[in-house]
Amino acid sequence: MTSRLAIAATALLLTAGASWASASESSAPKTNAAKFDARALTQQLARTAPVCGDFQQARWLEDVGAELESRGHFRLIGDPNAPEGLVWETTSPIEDRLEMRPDASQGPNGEPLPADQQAMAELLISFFHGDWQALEEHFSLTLRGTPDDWQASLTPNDARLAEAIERLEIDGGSWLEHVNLASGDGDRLELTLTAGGHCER
Amino acid sequence: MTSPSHEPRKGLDRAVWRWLWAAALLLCALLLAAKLAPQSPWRGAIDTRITAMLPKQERSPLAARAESLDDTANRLVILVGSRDASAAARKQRDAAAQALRQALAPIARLDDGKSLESLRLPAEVQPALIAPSLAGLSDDDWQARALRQLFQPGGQRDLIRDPFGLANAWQSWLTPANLSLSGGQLLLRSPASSGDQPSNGYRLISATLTGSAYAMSGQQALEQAVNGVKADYPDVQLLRSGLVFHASSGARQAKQEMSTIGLGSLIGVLLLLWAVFRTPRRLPLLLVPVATGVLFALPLTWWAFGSLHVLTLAFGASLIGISIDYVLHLECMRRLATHGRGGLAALWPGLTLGLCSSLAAYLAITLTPMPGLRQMGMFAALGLIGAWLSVRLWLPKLPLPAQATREDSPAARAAGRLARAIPGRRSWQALALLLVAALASLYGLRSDDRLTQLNPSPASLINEQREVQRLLAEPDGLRYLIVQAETDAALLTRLHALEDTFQRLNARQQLGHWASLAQQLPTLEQQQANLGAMRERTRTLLPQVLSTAGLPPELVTRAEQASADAHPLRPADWVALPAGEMGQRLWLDSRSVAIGIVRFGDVTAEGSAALARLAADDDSLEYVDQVARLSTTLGRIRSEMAWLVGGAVILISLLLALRYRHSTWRALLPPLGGLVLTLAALTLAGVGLNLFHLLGLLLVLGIGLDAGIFCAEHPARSAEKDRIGDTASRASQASLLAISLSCASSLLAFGLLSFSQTPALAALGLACLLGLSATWFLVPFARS
Repeated sequence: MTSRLAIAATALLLTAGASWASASESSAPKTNAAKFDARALTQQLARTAPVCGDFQQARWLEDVGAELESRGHFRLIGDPNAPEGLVWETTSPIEDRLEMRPDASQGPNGEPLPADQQAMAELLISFFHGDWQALEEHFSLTLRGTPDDWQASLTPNDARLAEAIERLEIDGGSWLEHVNLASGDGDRLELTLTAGGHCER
Repeated sequence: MTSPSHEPRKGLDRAVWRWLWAAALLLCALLLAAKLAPQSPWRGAIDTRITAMLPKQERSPLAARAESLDDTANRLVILVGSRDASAAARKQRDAAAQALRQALAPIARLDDGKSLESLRLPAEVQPALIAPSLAGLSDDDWQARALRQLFQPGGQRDLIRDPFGLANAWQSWLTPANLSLSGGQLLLRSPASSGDQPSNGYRLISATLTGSAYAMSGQQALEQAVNGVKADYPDVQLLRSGLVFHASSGARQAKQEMSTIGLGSLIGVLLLLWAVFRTPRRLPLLLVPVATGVLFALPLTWWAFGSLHVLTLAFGASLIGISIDYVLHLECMRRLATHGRGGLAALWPGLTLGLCSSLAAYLAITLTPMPGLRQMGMFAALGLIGAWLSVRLWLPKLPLPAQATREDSPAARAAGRLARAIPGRRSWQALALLLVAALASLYGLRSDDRLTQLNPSPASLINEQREVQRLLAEPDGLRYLIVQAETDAALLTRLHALEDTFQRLNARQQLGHWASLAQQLPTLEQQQANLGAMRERTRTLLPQVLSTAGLPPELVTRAEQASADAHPLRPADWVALPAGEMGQRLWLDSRSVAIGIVRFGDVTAEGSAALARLAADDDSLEYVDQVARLSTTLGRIRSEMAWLVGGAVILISLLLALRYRHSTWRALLPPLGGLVLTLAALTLAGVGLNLFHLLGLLLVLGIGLDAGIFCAEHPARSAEKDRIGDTASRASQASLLAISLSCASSLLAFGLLSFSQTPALAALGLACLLGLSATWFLVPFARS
């Protein structure tokens, strides 16, 4: 029983951590636009976050010393303000459609979503619709730049989360443009996001 | 023993004995302090488990080992649910769960606080473990799966050693289908098969207490943590499961009842004594023997048994009723018969005989194999000895106030009134009829040894526990099957073959859920076949995958090398892994044979019978039903105790016959008549007799014997009314008053227990209520 639960809790188990709010606000450089802090960024992203778009993904596998590139579309499922899940549709080099619903007990094929993908889905959904509140429980955030050109570093404030994510950096302008994720084992994931021409908003 | 208390002093009247007894009590106080002091290295625990009172030896060695694996006393699970489906309610739920985790962190180890990497399976066994969900895949499917794993976010992480993403699928398969991860916490839903309304799910918190589940400090800390969250989030529903909650509720209940029932009876007894004796300043002195008895018995019993059972303590709180007998007899005798001028020699034989007969009854129960009863017997016996010593050594030295010995004192008047109740011919006829009818009705006497009858936990807590176990499909550990085979390979094959049987029972709704190694590991043949198939797939399917993904083709060689090094996962290795902890209670390590355990939950009576039949014809299977075993044991002990006490009664009767000859009936009528009338009343009320009724009857026997002995020592004189100044007649009145006060105070002490919420104590109280009333009722007959 015990480890049955613990197994389910593997990967990016985002458990409680100290609130990052005070730390991040104090570390935000004072020289930048007076009001541009995590709260302002949250509001900006929540306002401008796309319901869907295109992605380019580069995955570096440290073990084999090779990079895998792919591209495709993504789309949030349900109410944009409280999305139920995310469709991740790869178009090249393979065609694959993955529906991730963190709150559903089962995946699209009736089998449960593996914990790794479950956690990744939650992370991406939080990024896309600008739910920084969910993230602030698990990361300390350092913000640089202006509302039109900002960069943020997220450092896990939980030892177990740090096992899976060594460093997480995001940047963008009016909305999120890049996600760079480095794992402890040397693997990296780089996402470049653009507003797709084919989706509304 | 019979020395006069005038000079010269001899025997127990010498001062040295008084000082020795005081020194012994001082030593006992020190021993008790060592058990109670928070920083003491000998600090003792208080046990509340019913099972802790039961003998340990009635299990096969394998069953004993199987149950020691299941020692989950420190485990606890709390489910946090929301009131309704609204997003706000869900948010409340998550916040409450988060607060609870933080509150629990200082006192417990949370399960999901473990290192994540340590929970992954070693890569070299993964190719042997293919989740059933992947069983039907075609070659194309396998290739597509491998490619998806490469490009999906959160896909497999080890291209060389697990190119087809077996680890993800295996992990999903091992995870219960109704358990998932969201918002960084575990979410538990109703099982899909249960037909429940789809719920919002519960946040699941499972942990292991770092301290003992019986330690008061840990219980209080846990209670504070849970109550704090309850107060902060009143709309959130909490379901608790774990022995610590039952232990804590039991301890709280015992404490509460000791303060309400215990205090109530103490006040009642004090009021009664005040009304009769009217010397309030002497009342505390009257309680000295009781207090010293407890002081004597408590540390000695605690040290002898290591831990003290809460029922022993409750019994101790009630001990007050029986040892006060001695004080009452002494006091009544001094006031009414000897006028405080010594001459107590006539009292000591009766008092000593009273002690011996009660000791015989209590020591009889220390012969039972039940540790809890032996503890109680020893506690009661030591307490009585201590109280007796105080009465014998100390109390005669205390001066009496002058007005206490006046002829028209309230005590003398009460004794005179009581003595007027002399049964006539008709009363004797009615009594004979009553006793015959009672004896006849004993034919319908039956017993009831069901454990559920004695469960002291409140129903709400039991329901919460049951609901948690149902939602988690977690076996309760009370029923299990021990499976033996020559090798671990044969064992796994056997366990897999048994799954069909369990499935059938499940389909017939006789078995809710079960846990077996077969649910965690494929057979070794299957694992070998899996290994072969994965090696083949690595060789034939992987090159195509790599070229589609644009990866260097020479990686195939490395992957083939890795799969050549792969090997099956044997049960012993699985349970040794951090991830295999769930298998630890299902596997018994043994050098010569392989032993597995299948644990069941939600078994009906038919299901249990079917499992027992399955094991009956097969030497390699042993089915254990702990519930049935405990009930049987309780019943066996009940009948054993009945025989022991019966034997003790015969022995005591012989002893009494030696002294009282043809008036022996006087000594036996109150105790034995009381027993018969009580048993008859219970039979007629349709109450099945359990162990705790018998314990109550044992008390009735003790008090009844004291009453009977004094009836035989000091029977009513035929010409009592005329020769009121006669010493013997005064002694008779004094002992009657003492007997009446003893019965009334014991009724207050024990009878009140019938209002206890703890079923065991309530049964004991009921037996005392009936038995003591009957005994008192029989006293006028015994002395006339």
